[in-house]
Amino acid sequence: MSVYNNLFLHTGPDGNKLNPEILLMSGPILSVEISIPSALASALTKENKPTPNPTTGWALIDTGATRSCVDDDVIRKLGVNPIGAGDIHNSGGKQSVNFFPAHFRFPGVPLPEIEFTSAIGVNISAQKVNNQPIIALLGRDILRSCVFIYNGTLGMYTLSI
Amino acid sequence: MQDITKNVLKKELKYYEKNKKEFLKTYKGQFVVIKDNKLIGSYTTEIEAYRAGVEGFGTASFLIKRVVDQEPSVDIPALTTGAINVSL
Repeated sequence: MSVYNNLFLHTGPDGNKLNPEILLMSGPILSVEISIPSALASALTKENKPTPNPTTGWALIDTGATRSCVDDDVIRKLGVNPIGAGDIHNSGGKQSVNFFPAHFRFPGVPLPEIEFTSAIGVNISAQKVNNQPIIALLGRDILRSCVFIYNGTLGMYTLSI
Repeated sequence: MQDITKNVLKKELKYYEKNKKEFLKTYKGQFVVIKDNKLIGSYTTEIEAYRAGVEGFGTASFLIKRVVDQEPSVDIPALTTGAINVSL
């Protein structure tokens, strides 16, 4: 099992210090690269079609989300077809959404890639941290295979997959 | 670029609903792959179903559906409460 400790640091005159306020404002985020699953990449190669470039942004660990989500624009750019559809519940009632195949990689982080997940396409990239968009929510479908410790007092979290 | 807002799986979803009772008798808890008005196969995991679908249909669309009595509810509270609205 790989373990990743994400420390939210503030750089001041005394060097780097843990800052709980940064974690409070950003939430438990990590860098993510979204691409198509390798099975689909192989199919594209067979059909002499180009493999779309991965998109990089933030993933927000969201223990409130039943399923993981990817940003709608990111999915559009990957050009993949949905593999399912369903409803999500929001304040206005039910909303119809599509489910898309996605591959998550976490650059610069010692966590394994998630080869395949069926993620919900939603519009979230307007949410930015340090001018980089949040392009994925890691929901409980992924977290069911993880240990996640949120340390709001210190300003860090631990994720192991 | 393909418009993913269109429900490309309309036909498959209709076929699933029409045959759901029958599927529940044989494939309960499994993942089925449906293309047009045809059941392609049943699989233990979603990734197996996905690989089979891609092997059969390449980049074309197909439906993967877990055969269950009641569809599980999907909740994404952060999207509705604005909890992920951050600016540093």
